[in-house]
Amino acid sequence: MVAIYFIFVGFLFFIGLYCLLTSRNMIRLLIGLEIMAKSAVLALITAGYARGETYFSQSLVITFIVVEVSLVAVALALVINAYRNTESLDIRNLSKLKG
Amino acid sequence: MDSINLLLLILLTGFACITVFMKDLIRAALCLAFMSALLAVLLYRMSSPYAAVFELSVVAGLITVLFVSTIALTKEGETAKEARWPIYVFPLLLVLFGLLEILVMKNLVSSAPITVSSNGTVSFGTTLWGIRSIDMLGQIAVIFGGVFGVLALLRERPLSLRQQMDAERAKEEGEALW
Amino acid sequence: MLLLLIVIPLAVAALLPLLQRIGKRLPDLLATLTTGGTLILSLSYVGRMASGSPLHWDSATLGIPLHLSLMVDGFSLLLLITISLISLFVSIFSIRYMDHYGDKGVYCALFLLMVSGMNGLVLTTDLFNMYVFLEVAAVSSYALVAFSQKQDGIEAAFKYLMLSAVATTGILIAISFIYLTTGTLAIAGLGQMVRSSMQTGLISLCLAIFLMGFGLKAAIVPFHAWLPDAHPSAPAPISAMLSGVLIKVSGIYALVRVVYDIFGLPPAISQAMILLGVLSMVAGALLALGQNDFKRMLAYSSISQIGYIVVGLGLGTPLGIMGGLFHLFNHAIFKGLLFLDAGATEYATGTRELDKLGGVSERLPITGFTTTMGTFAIAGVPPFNGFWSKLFIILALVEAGRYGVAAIAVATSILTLWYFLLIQRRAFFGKIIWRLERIREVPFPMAFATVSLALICLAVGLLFPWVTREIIQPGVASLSQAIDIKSVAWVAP
Repeated sequence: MVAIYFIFVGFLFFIGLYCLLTSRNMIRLLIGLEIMAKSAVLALITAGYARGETYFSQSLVITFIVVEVSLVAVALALVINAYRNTESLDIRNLSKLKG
Repeated sequence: MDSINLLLLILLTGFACITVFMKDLIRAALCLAFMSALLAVLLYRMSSPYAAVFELSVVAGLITVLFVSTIALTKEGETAKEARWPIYVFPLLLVLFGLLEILVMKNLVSSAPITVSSNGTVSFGTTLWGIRSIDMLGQIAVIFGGVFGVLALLRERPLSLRQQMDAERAKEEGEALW
Repeated sequence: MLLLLIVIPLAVAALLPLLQRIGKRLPDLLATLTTGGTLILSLSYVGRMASGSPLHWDSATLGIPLHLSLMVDGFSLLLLITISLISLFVSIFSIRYMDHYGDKGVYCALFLLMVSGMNGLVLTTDLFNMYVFLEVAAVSSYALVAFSQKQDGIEAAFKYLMLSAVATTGILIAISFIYLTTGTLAIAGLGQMVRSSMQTGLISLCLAIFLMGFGLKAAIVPFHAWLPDAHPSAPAPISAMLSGVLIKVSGIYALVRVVYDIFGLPPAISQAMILLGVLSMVAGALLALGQNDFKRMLAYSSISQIGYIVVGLGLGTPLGIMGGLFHLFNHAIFKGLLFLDAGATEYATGTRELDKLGGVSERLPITGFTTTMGTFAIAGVPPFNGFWSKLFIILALVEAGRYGVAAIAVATSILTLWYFLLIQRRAFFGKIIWRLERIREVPFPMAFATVSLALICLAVGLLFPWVTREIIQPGVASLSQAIDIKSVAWVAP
C-alpha cells in the first residue's frame, strides 16, 4: 500500500526532472524544481503516515517548505538579474561558461 | 488503499504533466498552485493537517505570488521559445520509467520491515518545538540567508562612468528645455 | 559551548546590515572578530577528547524546554578548525578586495551565515538537520557566487543552484526512505540499526542516492559540472571559501559521516569511492592542463585534489583515513591561498588570463612569493604540507595492495607539479611584460592574509608530526571506531 505512494513520488520526481532537463526558459526550470520539491514532501509525509508518526514527519515537512521558499526567492532574484543583464531568459544564452 | 487518495495522486501527476507542457508561463504557475492545493488535500487525508495548511498557504500562496511577479517583471522582450520535441518524447519515456519504477519500488518497499509506532502522548507543538528544535535554528538561519541573498542580488548597481555621463547629459538637456 | 559556534555567527550576520550605518569598516571588523572567535573556540577543544570519544552538548544544561543536541568528535573538530582558519583569513582578505563590489554589510552577513551553516552541519547529530544546515550554507553561497551581479556570476550561480537543488531533493527522498524503515534520524541510532539488522535493497538504494547527492556537493566526477563555472565567476575570497571549505564540509564531511557512521563503509562503497576518486584525480588534472583562466585552472585542480581525499577516505584503512583527512586540511589551506593569490593578481593586474601575464613577481614580490609557496604545496614538494598528505595516501594504497591506483596517484601528482610550475614560470617569473609595468603591490590586508596562509602551509609541513598527532589523529580515531563495528557481511541484492 505504501509502495503505491512512493511510486507516485517517483513519477513526480521524474516529471519535475524532465521539465528541468528540457526547458529553455529559466522560470520553467524553477517550475520543474518545484514539482520535484512536491515529490519530496509527499515522500516525507508518506514515511510518517506509514509509521503512524505524523507529527514527526509534519515537522520535517514544515522545515523543508521554509528552506524551499528561501531557495526559490534567491533563484528568482538570479532570474531577474539575468533578465536585467541580457533582456532574455533563454538558457541557451547561458553558454558563456563551458562545463 | 483509499480510493480518493489514489484519485488525488493520479490528478496530481496529471496536472504535473500539464504544467510542464503549458505554453503560457502564468498559466503554468497557476497550474503549479493548483497542484499544491491537490497535494494539500491529500496531506490532510493522510492525517497531516499542519503540513497541509503550510503547503497551501506557503507553496500555493507565497511561492505562486513570487513566480507570478517574476514572470510579470520579465515578460517584455521575452524570446525563449520552447522546443517542440520534448512533448513527443515524453509519453514514451514516462511509460518506460513507470514500468521500471513499479517493479523496483514494489520489490523494495514491500521487503522493508516497517515497525509501526504511534504519536505517543506529546502534542504537535511539543514535537515541533521540543523534539525538532534544532531545525528551528536552521529555519531561522535559512530565512536570513534568503533575505540577505535577495538583498545582495537586487541591490543598486553602481553606475558605470558612461552611464553616469549619460544620466548627467540627460538631466542638463531636461533643464535646458525649461 | 558548542552552540555558540552556530549562534554567534548567525546573530552577528542578522545584525550586520543594521549596524552598517554606524561605520564603514564595521562589517569587516565584526566579521573578522567573529571568525577569529570561532577559531579560538574550536582550538580550545583540541586535546579535550580522549582517544576519539565524542563530546556531547545538550541544551538540557541550559534549562530551557528546547531540545538541542550537538556533538563534536575528532572528525568534526578537524573540520571546525579548517572552517574557522580559512574563513578568518578570507575575511581579512575581503577587507580591501570587496570594496568595489559595494554593500559590504550584506556581503559580510552572507559570509557569516555560510560559516554558521557549515558549523551547524558539522556539529549536528541528526540526519535531516544536516540537510537543513547544508541548505543554509548553500543558499548563502548561491547569493555570494552571484555577488558581482555580472552575467558570468549569475549564469554560474544559476547552474550551481539547479544542480545542487536536484541533488538535495534526491537526498531528502533517501532520508524519507531511511525514516520509513528505521523510524529514527539520529546518526548514532541509525548506525546501530542499519548495520546490525537492516541490509535491505531499499537501504542500499539510499546509500547510492547519498553517494550521488553528496558527491555532487563535493564535485566528484561525474557530478562536477557546476564547479568549473561557479568557482572562477565568484569573487576571489568566495572562491577560496567554496573550493577550500564548502565542498569539503557539505560534500566530503556529509558523505563520510553517512557512509562511515551509518553504513559502516561496506566494501562495495569502498570500491565505488576509490573508483570515483581516481576518475576525479585524473579528469581534474587533465582538464586543468589546457586552461588559460587562472581561477578555472585552480577549480579543475580542486576536482583533482578532492579525488585524492576521496580515495584516501574510501580506502578505509587507518593510514588511508589519515592521508585523506590530512589532505583535506592541507588542501583547504593551500587552495584557499592560491585562490586568494589569483584574486590578488587580478586586483593588481586586472586580468586572470595566464597568457596576458608575465613576470608579475617583479612588481608584486609578495604575491609572487606566496603563489610560489602555494604552488609548491599543491604540487607536493617537500617540506610543504601537500607532500606529506599525498605521501600518506600513496603509502596507504601500497599498503592495501592497490598498486595500480597508487601508480595513477603518483603520475597525477607529477602532472600537477609540472603544469603548476609551468604556470609559475610563465606568469610570475621572468621579466615583466611592458603592459604590466605600472602595477603595484596589493594592499596590506590582502598581503597579510596570503602571507599568513603561505607560512601556515610551510609550518604544517615542517611540523607535520605534531599536527598529525594533535589535530588529524583524533579524526582518524573516531572514524576508525565508526567502521570497526561490522557484524554482518553486507549483502545487497
